[in-house]
Amino acid sequence: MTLKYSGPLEKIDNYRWRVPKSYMKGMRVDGIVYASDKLIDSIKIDNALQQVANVAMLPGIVRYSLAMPDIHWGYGFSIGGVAATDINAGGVISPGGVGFDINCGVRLLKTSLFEGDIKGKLKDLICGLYHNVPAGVGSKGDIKVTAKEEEKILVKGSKWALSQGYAVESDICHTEECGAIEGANPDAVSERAYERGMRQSGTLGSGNHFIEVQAVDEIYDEKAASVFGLSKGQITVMIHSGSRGFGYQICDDYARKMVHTLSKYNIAVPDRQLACAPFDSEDGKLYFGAMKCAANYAWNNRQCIMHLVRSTFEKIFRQGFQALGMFLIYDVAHNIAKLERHTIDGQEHFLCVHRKGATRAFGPGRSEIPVDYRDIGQPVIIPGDMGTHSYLMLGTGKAMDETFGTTCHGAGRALSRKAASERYSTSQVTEDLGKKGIILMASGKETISEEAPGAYKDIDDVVGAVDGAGISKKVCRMRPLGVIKG
Amino acid sequence: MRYYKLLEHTADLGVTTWGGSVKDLFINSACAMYDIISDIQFVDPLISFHVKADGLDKDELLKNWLSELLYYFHVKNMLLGRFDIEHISDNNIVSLVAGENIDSKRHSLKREVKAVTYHNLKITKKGNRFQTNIIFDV
Repeated sequence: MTLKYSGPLEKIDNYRWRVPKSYMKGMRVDGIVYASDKLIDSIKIDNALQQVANVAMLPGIVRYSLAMPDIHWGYGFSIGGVAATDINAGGVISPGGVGFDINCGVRLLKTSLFEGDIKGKLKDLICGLYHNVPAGVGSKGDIKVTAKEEEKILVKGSKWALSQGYAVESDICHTEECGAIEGANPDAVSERAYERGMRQSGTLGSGNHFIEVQAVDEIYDEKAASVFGLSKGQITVMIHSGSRGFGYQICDDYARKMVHTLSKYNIAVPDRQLACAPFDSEDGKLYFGAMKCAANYAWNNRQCIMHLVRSTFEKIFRQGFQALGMFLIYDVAHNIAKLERHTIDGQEHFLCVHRKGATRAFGPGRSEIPVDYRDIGQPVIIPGDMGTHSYLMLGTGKAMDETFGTTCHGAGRALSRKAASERYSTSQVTEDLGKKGIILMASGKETISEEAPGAYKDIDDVVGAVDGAGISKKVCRMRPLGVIKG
Repeated sequence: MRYYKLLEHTADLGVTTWGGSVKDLFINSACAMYDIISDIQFVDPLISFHVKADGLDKDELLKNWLSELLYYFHVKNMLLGRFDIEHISDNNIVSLVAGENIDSKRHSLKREVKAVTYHNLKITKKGNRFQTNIIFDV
């Protein structure tokens, strides 16, 4: 079923490619792909570019259907795709443009520890994290939440964790949307979504979700690194998780609903997974209100996981997390739709920006950025595969001009899960990581081979492409020391 | 007998399933989905119940029925292993399914199928058998 893209692709410069709107009837805008020569070869091997063209057909889409260098074949939208629609010009909102794992995202926590401080304790630390943070298929958490509390989480997001003593004030300021996007509508959430979300707060989940203990091993921007309080050798912790079963059910409910209302709004889409409704329609508003509930659920979930991470460090190092300098640098969403103000050709527009496997990367000065980072730009956290590196980057003015303030979200898969599990064995992956000094603990055996480092694109290439294109700038690089996989 | 095969899909997991009739295709697709989660030969049909679904056409009906079946894994903590179809039309299905509660001593969970997608799901007839691709979010 793997289909190599055979449509037109025009090189614009070293980091930009165009899928012209003349390629297919129905495309309203060009597709623009951010990639180097090396990356574009791997992008062409599957159907992702066709999906960029399909997304260009959405009603109300403005400027371009965008693809980041970590783009790969998704369902409906590609992973690594960005589409903005003008809500005052018939623009639509699409559950498929956000994806199932609503507000799947990543946060980066710093510590005042250095590599030498954790050397003899790393194994205990990774084991402790593995046991304290519930992970794996359908994992249920120790953080018990009643149905009434659950509804509060959907509205308050991370601020619920704050009210329970699982957060401090600076965690909230350093989370996108301060951990709670306004306008969440619990009435738009189905009973099934509540059922699936129940008891999953504070759980990592399965698949590509992880907790990683890292060391800063390269600094590219000393000034920005000092704003974040980071220097070479310092220990950081990265947490990647999402809205668990709750977000999945919301996407499923509304994708289905919108497949059924396509004819009502006279919308034709080339793939049912692209089903959508006008942003300002009743159906559009209901989805947006429900999506926000899932986004808030996810921010609270990552906050609860971070609380469990902090308490594990506290046990191992016999000090409070504040004494250990365990403060949140930032938390960003990878799968979300946002109503944002953007300037196009000198005019201000309100756009519904879909980021599916893409990260908001606002440039300096935007009011959405925490005050202490506003002069340098929004922190962008890019996890790599578990064997190489992750990056901390900054959003730029160029991203505001070109990509609705958006950049890549990770390495992006290069191999299918099937191919990866055929090529890599669980024991080989664990052994190879061990040789690099990386401890791996995973609850699912299939996950280890499917998530093998070789299944991903080279993160250095991906980050190099967005840095080269100027849509985000490198601050520092982190090397993994220990990984917990769901 | 092989009734499904795994597909190459970069982000997620896909299968091609087939059957001599639409009914068989549906049953084989359900077996494939639960076999991706856990080896269905170890699932005993201890609890049985009816599962209904509807859809705009057969393609959507299959997607919606599989999503209904997946609910029992996600929320009821069950594995299903037997699927009988009592009635099927283009828009409706009534099935009698059976399975058991997950027992970590006997059941090894391989992967979490998180959702069934619409992407590339199209039932076609080739010769005397029906087939379709199904992409799961994992």
